[in-house]
Amino acid sequence: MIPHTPGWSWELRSDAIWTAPPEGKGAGVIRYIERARPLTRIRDVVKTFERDGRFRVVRTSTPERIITREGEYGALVTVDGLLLEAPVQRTVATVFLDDFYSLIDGLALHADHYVRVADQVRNLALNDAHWLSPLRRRRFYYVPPAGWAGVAGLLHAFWFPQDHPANASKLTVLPAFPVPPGSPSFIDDVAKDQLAFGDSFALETNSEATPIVTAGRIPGSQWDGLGTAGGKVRYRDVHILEDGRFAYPLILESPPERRDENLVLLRKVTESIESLPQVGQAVTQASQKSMDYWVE
Amino acid sequence: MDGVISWARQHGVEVVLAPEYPDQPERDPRRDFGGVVRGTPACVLQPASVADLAATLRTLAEQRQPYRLRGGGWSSGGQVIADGGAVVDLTRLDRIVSDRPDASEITVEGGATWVAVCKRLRQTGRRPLAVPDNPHMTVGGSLAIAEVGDTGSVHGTVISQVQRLTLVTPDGEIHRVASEHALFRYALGGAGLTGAIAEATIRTMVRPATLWARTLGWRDLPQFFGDAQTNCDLRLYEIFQGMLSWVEDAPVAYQLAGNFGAAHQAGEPGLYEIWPNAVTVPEGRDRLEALSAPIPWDRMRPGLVLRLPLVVGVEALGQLSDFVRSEPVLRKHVASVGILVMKPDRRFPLAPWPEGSHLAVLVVRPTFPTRDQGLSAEIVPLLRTVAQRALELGGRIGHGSIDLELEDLARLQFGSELEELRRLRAKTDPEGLCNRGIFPGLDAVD
Repeated sequence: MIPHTPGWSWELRSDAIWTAPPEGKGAGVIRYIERARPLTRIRDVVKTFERDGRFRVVRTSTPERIITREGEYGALVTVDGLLLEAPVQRTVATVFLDDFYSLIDGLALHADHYVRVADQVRNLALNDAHWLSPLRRRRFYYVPPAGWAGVAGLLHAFWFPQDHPANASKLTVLPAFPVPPGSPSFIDDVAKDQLAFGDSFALETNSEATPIVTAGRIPGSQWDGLGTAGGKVRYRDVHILEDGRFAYPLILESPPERRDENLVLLRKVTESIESLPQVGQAVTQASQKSMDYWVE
Repeated sequence: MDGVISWARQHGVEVVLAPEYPDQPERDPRRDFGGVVRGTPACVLQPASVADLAATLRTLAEQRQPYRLRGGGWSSGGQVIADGGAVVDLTRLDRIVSDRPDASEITVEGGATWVAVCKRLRQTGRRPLAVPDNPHMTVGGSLAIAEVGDTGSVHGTVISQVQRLTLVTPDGEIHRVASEHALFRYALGGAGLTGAIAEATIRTMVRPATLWARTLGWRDLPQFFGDAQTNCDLRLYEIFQGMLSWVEDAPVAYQLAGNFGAAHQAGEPGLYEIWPNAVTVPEGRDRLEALSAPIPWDRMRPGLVLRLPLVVGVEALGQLSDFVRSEPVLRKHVASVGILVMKPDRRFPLAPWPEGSHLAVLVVRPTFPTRDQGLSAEIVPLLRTVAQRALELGGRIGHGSIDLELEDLARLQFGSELEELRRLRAKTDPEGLCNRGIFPGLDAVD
């Protein structure tokens, strides 16, 4: 829920809240949808705007990553367009939650109001509150393996190489798990569980944990297992990081002939993992990466 | 005038003399659509190219002959009639000069009708931003009077979409001008006082042919004007125009509200933002087909177009409604009053803009069954009373309206711009030959 800005109107409609500056909607208007489903890339959200035959997109800015005051991830773009042939600007923010996103769609009808509406959308997005516990299973940021294609689960992501299924490799990115306080063996327990997880894979041997630490100073451990899947030999490698609040598990399955190259990719993905933001944390310049894979 | 006629014959410019004037009302140069003012011109000159037009105006200037410019002849107050003078008929300048879909523009000659322009644009799924409700008007004529377009609520008058002009000034010079040029700004909405619009480059847009529209109704006129302003500001419906009518003597505002589209858009934003009392189901209709049908000239409908500051719109419409209902002649012949709310485009100082950020356009067109039962002596004074009251409320009168017989009309219409207009006119038409007499008080000869 966005906060009410003093002086701005507040109109509750069946599907959205509409808020406008004191001088009226002629200056601009902001539409807020608290729960939109399914999760959608922000650039695909922008594409839906043209379903309204009055509006045409002219230019969309590169998505900017934001973190709300609650520590939730979001995105923000600026869309220059034509509303019935008149130039207008929309500033659009989405806040990604577990199985939905909130949408803040600001429309400025005159150039004089572009900055003002954009600032207001940003402010509302940063203060968009959903009161979901910060300690819950959550998606986290990482850079996907280059050239692999993703499929989204509820909170999981599954990545496959271009030549799948001939190449039976698969990377599974689980959601981050909250680490229970006072449980030093938590990530080892998760890793062991994941090494043998699933009916289709039969674990035969596995290594002990080897410590790892990323360049971002997130520690963790790596495990490898050997087994069979569908009668064929498969390696299963588990990398799991832990930042004191969350555990971040990655599971890679490889046929023997692909394992070496896959391990290189896995290390890169592991290195790219970012800790989930704390409440009140701002996005850093260094993490302004492409948002393409988000909600894959 | 003999010198002009002789010149025209020598130089291949069509010239028509009184005995040859056609009787069909739509072609008769002795009358216009209004049919109120009549007069017999000494000749009608019909140049067929920009160069011929320039030479024609130069010759008229050299021969010191007053003349009126004429397009489709849709004026209501005799603005295109030159009793004893010359008429320069621009309808042979009707070519599509160039069509550039990639640049979203089309260049046409001033005598082309909007029907012709729209039909050409339809080939590429486009239309102008705004088209006069009477698309049989010529482009040049409607630009000269800053005619309200069908999409006026969001796109303003037809002049706002013009990118460039070829203007032939009364001294016979050809000027190719764009928005930064004074002649551009003073020609559009300038009632032909700075010359003839020979070509215009018009902005176009991609639009389906079908208009999906519904009729909205308001019994509460303040609510209507508020909603109409909202439509302008939020650009909800590109077509938002209609009329005031009466149901059991109570005024009701109706508007046709819609957007062009391949199909009706469910959950149209307009219905969330405005609050009419009545809403019909949306219907799809080919807009161009609907407007292209011939308008019968035998129904003389001299019009009075009022442009009022929106802040006095409720008061003005209320007064007009009371006046129409209280005068039996008006009550009989004025079944409705056209209404459209729009924003002025102040780049064009001679267009009839009242003060304020928004204006209400009210159009009174009494109906008459035949042209011979015309505008009687009893109705014209009543319409002049309406016009006078609108002027007192800070309004302006549409340039193509009935003859108001006001000696200081130029001052009332152009206000502080009058001196600049006179200065421009003195440069190219020092004797005020072009469209002389349309605005009493403009030239010394008036």
